[in-house]
Amino acid sequence: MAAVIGLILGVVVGIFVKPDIPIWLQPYLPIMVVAALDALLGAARSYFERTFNDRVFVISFLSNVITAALLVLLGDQLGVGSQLTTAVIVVLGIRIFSNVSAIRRFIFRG
Amino acid sequence: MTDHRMHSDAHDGAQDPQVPDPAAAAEQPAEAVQTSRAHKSANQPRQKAQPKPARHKPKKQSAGEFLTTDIAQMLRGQRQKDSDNDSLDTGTFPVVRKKLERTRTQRTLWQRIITSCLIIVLCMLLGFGYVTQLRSASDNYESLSEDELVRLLDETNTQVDRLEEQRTQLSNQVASITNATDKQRELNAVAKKNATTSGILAGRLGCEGQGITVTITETGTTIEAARLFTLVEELRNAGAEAIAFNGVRIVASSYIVDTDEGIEADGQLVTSPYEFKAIGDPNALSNAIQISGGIGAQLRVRYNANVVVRTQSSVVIDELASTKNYQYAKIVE
Repeated sequence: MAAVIGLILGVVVGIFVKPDIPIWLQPYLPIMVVAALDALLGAARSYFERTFNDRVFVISFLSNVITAALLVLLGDQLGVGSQLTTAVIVVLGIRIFSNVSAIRRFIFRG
Repeated sequence: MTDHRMHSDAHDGAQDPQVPDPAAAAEQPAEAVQTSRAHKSANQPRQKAQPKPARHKPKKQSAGEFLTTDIAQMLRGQRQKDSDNDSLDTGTFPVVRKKLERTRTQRTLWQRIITSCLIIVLCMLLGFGYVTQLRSASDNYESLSEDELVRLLDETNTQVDRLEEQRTQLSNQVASITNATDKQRELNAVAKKNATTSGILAGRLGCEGQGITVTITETGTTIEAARLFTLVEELRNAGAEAIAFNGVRIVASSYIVDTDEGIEADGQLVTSPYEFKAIGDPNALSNAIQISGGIGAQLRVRYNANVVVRTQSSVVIDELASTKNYQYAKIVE
């Protein structure tokens, strides 16, 4: 419930505030968004599995986002920024798919 | 809390056929939240997982282990019994399937509020970042494909060409306008100059410059108008640019005639002494008068007149000719 409220609030604020992303954050923001999405879907899955824990969610959310951003930062510094970005996106995409399939199994029982 | 656990157990019983699903089991390690959770709830998964190896054991392990198959059969029987007993109406539950960690991780209300606030904030950040990224990605060239970029480049080039063309046209226009204004200014200057010269020539403007004054005083004998006109002619020949005669500006149409009352110049009576003012080269002008056998000598000899010629560095002629209304002459456009 809190997650949904927060999500809606964030979208509304984002629509009305129209912020300018600082230039140093531009390569990391999409990755961070995808990582956060993965954490959110993981939380949704664990909620359906009745093993949801807020503390774990908060920690996994933050660690996901920070790890993804740090990986991209590292890639940028090593000169393989775009490749590592792709790799992170692929991994997070796979995780999102597996989370969604688990959630689907809970919702549709199959 | 007890209620929740009740549901949970009932749910577990209902979901039982899913637990051994190999796909779900394979996905399990990929889920971070789930994994970390699994450490905490070590008690429950063990209970859940127990039937799984029991079922698969005959395939995986050697057939010699009778003991494990016995245990598996026993457990299966236990599970059957549990699910039979697991009834919400009676409230009786098998003790072995109870989840204990719920009570262990029970937290205070404050902690719950803080964590849900944190969740709200994090999800807000996610939504905010998503919307922000949406907006920034839409106007980024990075997100365009090569074809689109090429098309964009073409369009831009075409636009540049068009703008260049427009610029050339406009600069041509500017040049022509500048030329025209220059010409206009030149024309104005010429016209002004012409107006000045013709004004002096026609006697419309007063003027000043070096020249001479000639004063002729009659002594008895009357001087004829023709003599005076000769003097004017001499001055003109000598290059006089402007001539005045006793307050009358002498121009091209001026006349000097004898009348009964005396000498009349442009309708005005003039009497001795006659004073001529002329602007021009002083030497040439005075020579024209003083030359031997010239008009000055004639006046002195024939009419006993007193002729005085003075060269001056500044002769002011402020007499103006009366403007004439032209009846026949029209300006050529």
